Amino acid sequence: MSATPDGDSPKLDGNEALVVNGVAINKLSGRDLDQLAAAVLEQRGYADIAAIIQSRSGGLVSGVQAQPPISSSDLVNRHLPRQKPTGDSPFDKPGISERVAGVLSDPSSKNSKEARDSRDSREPRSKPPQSSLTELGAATASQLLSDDPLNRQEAFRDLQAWVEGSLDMYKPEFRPLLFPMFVHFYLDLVQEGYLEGARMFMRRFYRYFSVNHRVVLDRLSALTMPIHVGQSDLARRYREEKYVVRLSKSGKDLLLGWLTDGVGGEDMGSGVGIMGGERAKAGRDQVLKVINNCLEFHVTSSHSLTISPNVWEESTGLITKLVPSKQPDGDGDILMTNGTAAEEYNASHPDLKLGLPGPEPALKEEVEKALQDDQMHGMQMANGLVPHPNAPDLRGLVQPPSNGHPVPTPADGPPMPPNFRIIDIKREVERVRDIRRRIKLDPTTFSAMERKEFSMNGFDQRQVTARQKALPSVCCFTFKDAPEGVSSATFSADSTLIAAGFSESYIRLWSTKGDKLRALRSDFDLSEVKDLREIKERHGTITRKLIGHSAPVYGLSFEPSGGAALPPRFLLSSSADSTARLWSLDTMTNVVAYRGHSKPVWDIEWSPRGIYFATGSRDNTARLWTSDRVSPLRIFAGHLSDVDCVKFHPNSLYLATGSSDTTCRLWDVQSGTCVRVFIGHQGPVTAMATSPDGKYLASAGEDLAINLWDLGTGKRVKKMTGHTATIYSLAFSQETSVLVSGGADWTVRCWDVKSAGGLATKTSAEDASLVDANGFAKKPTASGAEAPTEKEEDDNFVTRDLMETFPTKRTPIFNVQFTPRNLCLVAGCYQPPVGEVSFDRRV
Amino acid sequence: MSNRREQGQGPVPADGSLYSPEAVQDVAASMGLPTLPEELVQRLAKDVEYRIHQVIEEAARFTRHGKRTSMSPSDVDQALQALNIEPLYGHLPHMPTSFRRVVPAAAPSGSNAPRTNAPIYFLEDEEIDFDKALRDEKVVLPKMVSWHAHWLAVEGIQPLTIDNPPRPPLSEQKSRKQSPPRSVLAPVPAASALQPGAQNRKYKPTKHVLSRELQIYYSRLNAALLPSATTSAASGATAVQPNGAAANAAGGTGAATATTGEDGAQIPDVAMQPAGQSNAAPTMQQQQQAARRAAALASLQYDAGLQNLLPYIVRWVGQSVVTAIRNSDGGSDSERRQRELAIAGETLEVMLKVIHALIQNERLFIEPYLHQILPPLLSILLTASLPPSPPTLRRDASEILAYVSLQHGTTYPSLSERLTKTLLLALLAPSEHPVKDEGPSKMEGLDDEDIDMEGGGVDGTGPGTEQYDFFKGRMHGSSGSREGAVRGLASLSPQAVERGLIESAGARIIGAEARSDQAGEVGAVLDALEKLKPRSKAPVPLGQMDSDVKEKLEEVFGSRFARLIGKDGGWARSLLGMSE
Repeated sequence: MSATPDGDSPKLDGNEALVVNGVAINKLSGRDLDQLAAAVLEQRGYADIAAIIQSRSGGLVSGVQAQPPISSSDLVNRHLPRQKPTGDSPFDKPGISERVAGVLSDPSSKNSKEARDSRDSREPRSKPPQSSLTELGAATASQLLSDDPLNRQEAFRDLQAWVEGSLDMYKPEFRPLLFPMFVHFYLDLVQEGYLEGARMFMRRFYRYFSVNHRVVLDRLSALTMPIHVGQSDLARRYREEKYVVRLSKSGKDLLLGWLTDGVGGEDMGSGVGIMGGERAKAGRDQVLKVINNCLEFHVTSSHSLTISPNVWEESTGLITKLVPSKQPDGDGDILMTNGTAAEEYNASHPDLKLGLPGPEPALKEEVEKALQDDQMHGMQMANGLVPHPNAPDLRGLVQPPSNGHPVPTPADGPPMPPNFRIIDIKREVERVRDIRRRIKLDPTTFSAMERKEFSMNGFDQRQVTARQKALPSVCCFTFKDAPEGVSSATFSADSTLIAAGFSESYIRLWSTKGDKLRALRSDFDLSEVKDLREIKERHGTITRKLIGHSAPVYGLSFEPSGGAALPPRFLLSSSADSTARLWSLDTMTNVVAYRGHSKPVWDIEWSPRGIYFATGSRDNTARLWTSDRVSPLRIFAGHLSDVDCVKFHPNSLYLATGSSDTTCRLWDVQSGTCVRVFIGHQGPVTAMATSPDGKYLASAGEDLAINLWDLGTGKRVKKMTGHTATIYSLAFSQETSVLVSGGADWTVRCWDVKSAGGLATKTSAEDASLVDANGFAKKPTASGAEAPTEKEEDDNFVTRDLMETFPTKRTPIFNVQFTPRNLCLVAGCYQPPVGEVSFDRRV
Repeated sequence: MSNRREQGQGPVPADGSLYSPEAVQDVAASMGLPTLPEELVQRLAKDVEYRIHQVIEEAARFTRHGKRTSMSPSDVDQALQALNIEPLYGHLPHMPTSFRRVVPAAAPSGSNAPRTNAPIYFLEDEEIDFDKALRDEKVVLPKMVSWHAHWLAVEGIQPLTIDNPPRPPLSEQKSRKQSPPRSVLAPVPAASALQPGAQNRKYKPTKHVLSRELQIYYSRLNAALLPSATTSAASGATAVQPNGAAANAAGGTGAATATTGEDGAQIPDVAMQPAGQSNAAPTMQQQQQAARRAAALASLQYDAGLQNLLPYIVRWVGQSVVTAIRNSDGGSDSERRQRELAIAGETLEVMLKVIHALIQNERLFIEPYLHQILPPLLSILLTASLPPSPPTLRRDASEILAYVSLQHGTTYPSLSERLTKTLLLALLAPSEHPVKDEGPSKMEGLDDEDIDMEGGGVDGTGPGTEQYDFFKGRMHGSSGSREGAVRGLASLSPQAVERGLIESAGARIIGAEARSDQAGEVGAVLDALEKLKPRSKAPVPLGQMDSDVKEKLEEVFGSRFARLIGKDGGWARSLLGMSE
């Protein structure tokens, strides 16, 4: 009953004004108008609304229809959208238990043909996922009529009751089942047009899930019409991808038992209480349907209690698509062992060259010579020709120490210029000097105990020394009088310049010493110029405004090739106008605009030695560029959502990206392939940092956690929590001993990288039962009765490796950076108080 | 368009959706589509709601990357652009649009709509008179963005400067093991008001709420400490002295009067004597008063938990001292005058004791209030005319001053230097030429820049804003203020004495102007000199042989002191730095 405007097109008058879909309109009135609306609607994909208008204008029913729009045949059709003609299904008439066994088949026991069948059957099912439910004998119209929203709610409540009524040891592995089940039931309800029912369903269980899944719930609750389910990215992902849930073997058996016979969960009186046996069974069948269609179980042999909450976090969710699909190997027989998909993927790229190469031999020689001269000179100045007994040999510092990973050869990385320049020598010499003069940060002696006593009792000499050893000095640059806000800020490597990007599309530069910034003049006679210094402006200004972008500037990066020795000559910026721009700091003008991204560019970073840079964009890609070409060299595609941040590995071989799809990835810059996937965040990744020793990646997410990843294995080392609002920036100290983070909660926090971390709570057993499958929430999900008081919760989510918190006065910290000598520079924009703003995102 | 509304729900639909079908109908009507079928309207409303969510979701990305925590109109603009929708014009982030809320009046009887009286929000379109705008409006350029660098932490320790938020108080740290994020985030108005450049921002004055217990404590304290007839005397003084300053003074004590009066009414056991009976007060009552006073002072000295009250007590002390000094000025000899003087003297004595008790209290964090405590102290020390009754007032004040400078000299190295300067000025002020503005301006130096006032101004209009115009116009080197200055210098340090009396020739001035050898300042000078160098035990007057010593003495101390010091030859020599 689609609208066919051509079929009953209205009479055509002489002077046509507008033609839509063949419908000519000259006068906006009555029937024509309806026709027009219908045509437009249909074009946009609202077939059923169009049909209504059509029918109305066609005079079938005049006025408002009293009849519900969904007829019973419609209902059946809609209800069985995935049904295919019987016959080719492998589950023609088997019992439920057999089917369940098929779905839940444990691949490690690949004893039977049945298991293989089920695996085969997975393929066709995923294309048009078919419901086996309707093929049951009882699956007739009567069942469909009983299939109202309330029925789904009851079915879900049954499942929930069973999960919560199960033994404590199984609860953490069953709980993750509930959320996908909930989402699919909800989407089903919306898709079938039971908006009221869907809303009720959402209201009823919102609180239960809101601790961990608030964002998803909020986005889902925006869906109001069946058509939206197809249009929303999130809903589509839930519909199209498998939700992975980990289950132990015994857990699987229990679930099977419940699905077939409804056993277990007697605590809450689920099985027989509200609904009779028949209806309960129907409910379980609905659960089964979702399990069949939308869930994927990874059955592990390990016991549920031995699995840490972090693993649950890494291995549940819509992660099938997050992990890149592997190249088809020989047999293609994928066996789920104890590892997750991400682990397996990471294992398929075993050896990354994460070592740090020193300067190339010729350069190294020069640098050593320069250092020796330096040293001799210093000695002469000091005490004649007697060599200082303690004078260390600086030459040993030219080569960075090994971090245990293979060191790449120059051929492995992106090509670099064949000859070094004087700037390279200067940089390397300065680097070695900085290593010598560095403030060593060593948190090993710094324990949480001392911290506590410290804050209580003021200054004790022992603690003061422990702190001096462990914690950096932090210099805070606070921007003021920026009503529309600074959206990015960064310092140059030699700390002489500070740049800030503004929402008003421009960039401002200052000298951190308060000097005037002088650019080169443009009005000079080329023949007369002998030295560039001659054509510098006479009178500089304290600040320079760089204008060129046409939308907020979100990313800034100073060119690093001069290192700490020389001021940078170039600045890169990225903006919501989907360009990246290169600015010359000699002339203070825009030199190049790099166009290539189609959406806002969120982040930009120079590679550690300049020449190359990377961008991350809303268009789900990260790109590698070189400054002398306007088109990208590599496009790193694979993230399912925005690439929010990019960071180079210190040896320039790899690029780390963090995305709104909650994952981080590590890409091989040369080949453009993804070599690591890091799954574990529960929200978009907002900031990242690679450690100077090349071994770790730290990432911060909207879940307010900071994860530390081992790049070599791809595994999570630990999770650090304590921030109470979005984390905007992360930085490692030069020895990778301290991690500093800054965020919207107006604090700078220092974390001990090497200590074990973990939540500072009571016994671990108690912990395990309280921690939800998704890790960070300590709130027991069962009921509000045993919810801890707010105060306890505050303390509970702070991990032990948080060394110190430095609060600012209302200044969200946008950027944290370490100088080569381990001074920490942070920048933020003071927020004048306007009213009460709540930053606490935890419910 | 009204007939549709018969089936319509209210503007806020009951089913939990945000965008009402009615709104769709309104929009349709405004575009010339008068009748849309109900079903269509319903569906469009739902779709619109979804689209709004979509835009907001997109805008949230821009908010996050703009590193803000609240969404701005420009974020929505960006989102609309990203979604390829025409942006909304006219909504600028720096001009926040304020919607006006109007509850529509009951529907006119003619229309058939049983409209719910749901509020309507609309944008106010201000009418601007062009002429007026051109004439009056001056475009003020906003301040340019600037930055300011400070140390957030030095080797892991956060310095307690005004750039950093104050450390949460001890009690809070005890209750929570770590500095809690909430308390960190909570606005700290007292401190942030001190942020440099804060003048151009408007802060709401915060209210400092005192618990009822503390209020009662405060009023009882007043009642116990103040001489019972002060209040009546003060009001009497207002009547007697019809000059402008007196009105001010009356205002100051008026508050105290009110509180004591109330207190007397509420709490009967604090026996309030009727005014005018104090002369004939039986000893019984005097004893009671003395006992109460001792108890109150002990409480001030040893009780914890008075921190919240501190600004109020300090302010009360300042006001009481100013009033008392004013009342003791002038010289009629009537009996009433005598009584007033006695009361003023008593008040000053009590106030000194209060200051002493506050400083002694180890549980009070007195440092931020030093700049408010010092003026009353110095007033007592340096004022020209003190009530005669307790003769030791200046001496006591100087001792307290010595204690303060000893106690807080380490934290504020410039404290004793500044005190010395003030005292020297008082000492050396020429007697003929009144130095009207000298005193107060020097005191202001002590006020702000020197002492880091954390939480100093608890209330913008409260304590701390009082200006002490003590010895205004009276600092022309009267004997009283000179005596006080000398005593103050003596209490600070021997170096200060040397500087004041010898190097600056303070002794000569005093010697030349003192009326007699028995005058207070002469005694003070001798006392001070004694602090410098001890007298010899067996004084031997200078003989004829020591003419050089005598000459030197004359030269340094003037004739009067040369004679006085000359009575002890050994002492004179040691003062002059000469050997026997």
